[in-house]
Amino acid sequence: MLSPSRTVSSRLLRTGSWLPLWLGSVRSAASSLQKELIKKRELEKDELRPLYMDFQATTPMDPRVLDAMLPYQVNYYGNPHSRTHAYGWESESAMETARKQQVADLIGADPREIIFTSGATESNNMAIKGVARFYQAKKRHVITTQTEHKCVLDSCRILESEGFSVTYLPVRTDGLLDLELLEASIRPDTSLVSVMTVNNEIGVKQPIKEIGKICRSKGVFFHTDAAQAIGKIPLNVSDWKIDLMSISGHKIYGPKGVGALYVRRRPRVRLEPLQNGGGQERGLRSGTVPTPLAVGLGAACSIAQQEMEYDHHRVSMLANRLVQKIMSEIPDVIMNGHPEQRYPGCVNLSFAYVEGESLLMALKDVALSSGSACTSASLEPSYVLRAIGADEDLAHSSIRFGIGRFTTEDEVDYTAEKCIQQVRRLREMSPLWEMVQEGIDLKSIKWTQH
Amino acid sequence: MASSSRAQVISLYRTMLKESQKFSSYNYRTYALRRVRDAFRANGKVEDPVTVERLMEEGRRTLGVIQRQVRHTTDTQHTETRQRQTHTLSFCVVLGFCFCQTNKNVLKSLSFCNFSG
Repeated sequence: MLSPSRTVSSRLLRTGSWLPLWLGSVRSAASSLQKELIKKRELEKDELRPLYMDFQATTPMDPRVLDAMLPYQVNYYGNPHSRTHAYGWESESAMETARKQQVADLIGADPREIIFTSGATESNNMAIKGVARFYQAKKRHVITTQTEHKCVLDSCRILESEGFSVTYLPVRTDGLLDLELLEASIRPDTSLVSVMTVNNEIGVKQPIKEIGKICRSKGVFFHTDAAQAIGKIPLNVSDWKIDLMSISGHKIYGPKGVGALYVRRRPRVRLEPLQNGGGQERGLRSGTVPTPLAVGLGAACSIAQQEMEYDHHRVSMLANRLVQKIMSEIPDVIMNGHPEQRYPGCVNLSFAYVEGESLLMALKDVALSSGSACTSASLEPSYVLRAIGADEDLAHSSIRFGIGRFTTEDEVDYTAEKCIQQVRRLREMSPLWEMVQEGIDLKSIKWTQH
Repeated sequence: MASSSRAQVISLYRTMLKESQKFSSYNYRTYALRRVRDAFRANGKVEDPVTVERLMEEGRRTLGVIQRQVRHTTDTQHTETRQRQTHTLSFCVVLGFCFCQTNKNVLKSLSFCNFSG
């Protein structure tokens, strides 16, 4: 359906008419208006919202967390750093409860070791840049892995531009880090090792306990990004010899815009603060602590502690159900990452001979992702899949299914059925699949260059 | 304080299920129903009256959370549309009623129209 202005203007432009350019702009204005209307119509179809199966990107807030936060948004709105009146005292008391009984308790830390931040990205930046810069006189080396979150990799890149040397350790094909390689990479001038606990794309759980032991024995600080792990698997910073840990609020059914950083006091870890100001949060992160968000984070942590066993059991059951159903019905499906050393709620499957983006489009009424949310804008395959050595074509056809506390059996069954149906349909259309059915080995084909 | 009787426990269970049914979000509703059912089932064998009382207190607190959050998490967009629809409907009904009146009652019906909508 062509709009009248479009045909008129194109006809006029072709005849080389003198008609002014405003007609062209009218045409582009009309098409952008159409786009807006289409977008609005799609957003208004609220009754038919897709199923949410992307729990690694973010999680819905638990109603109990919202209930804990609301009084601090409405009535108890004081600044927790105001020392002189009741508004300040009650906010401070709520913030300290969140810090002590909830966040610190979940990870086995002292409340003085918890710093509230704006999220795991800020915590990662603080940990990596802060520690590296503080000890830069004597120690100029940082070690991390190739499968870290973008904020860790980007912070390391900035450090490289400041003159530090950074080692990006490769991982095995199952996603786990080679401990001997790590031990060999540690130099006398290494200040920090950063390895994430649970990967957000493939769900692999690194051997944090062993890495902590190696780092402690060599006198190197150990930082772990536990955003996806906290509240889902039991963690203890003393048992695992962790010196710094990043926590994210919105991955554990808490509010967005808040996180925390655990900074060990014994033996003391010193940081150069990224954000300077009035000296709040032990001088490491100045700025007013957002009381409702901190209370929300605390509530989310305490609920996670109570519900950890129930949720873990349920998520494992649902993940097994999904994977069994899909793998029993269609061939050539590969699960990326180690099958046992993983968090069950993050399932990354590669469907051979099917393009990932087209499968996502086909699964329109299920909210899924291929690759992490922060890299989903680009069309390149995920760097994590490339790091675990997945073939280029398999990396392109991978989908991440996220299962969480609120997922139901019906949602999992529907997703599995829809996935099976759409993969079959897409494979039928695929010439590569035809060739494979005929027995041709795709690797032996010489694609001609034009 | 006497421990809660079996009837009280069952009554709390029924009330919690009834309130959980009112969540407008599918995920919250199914989670609340499932969690309440599983929690009561898991604690069904508890004999110690102190523990029973503590669990009942926790249950009552959770009931409060459910009741408040059912109100807060109602989809406001849809309720607004529905309110606007019923508003115009009632106005039309009244207007129609007014026009059906005989000439004698025109003045009365006009004043009636002014109060509606």
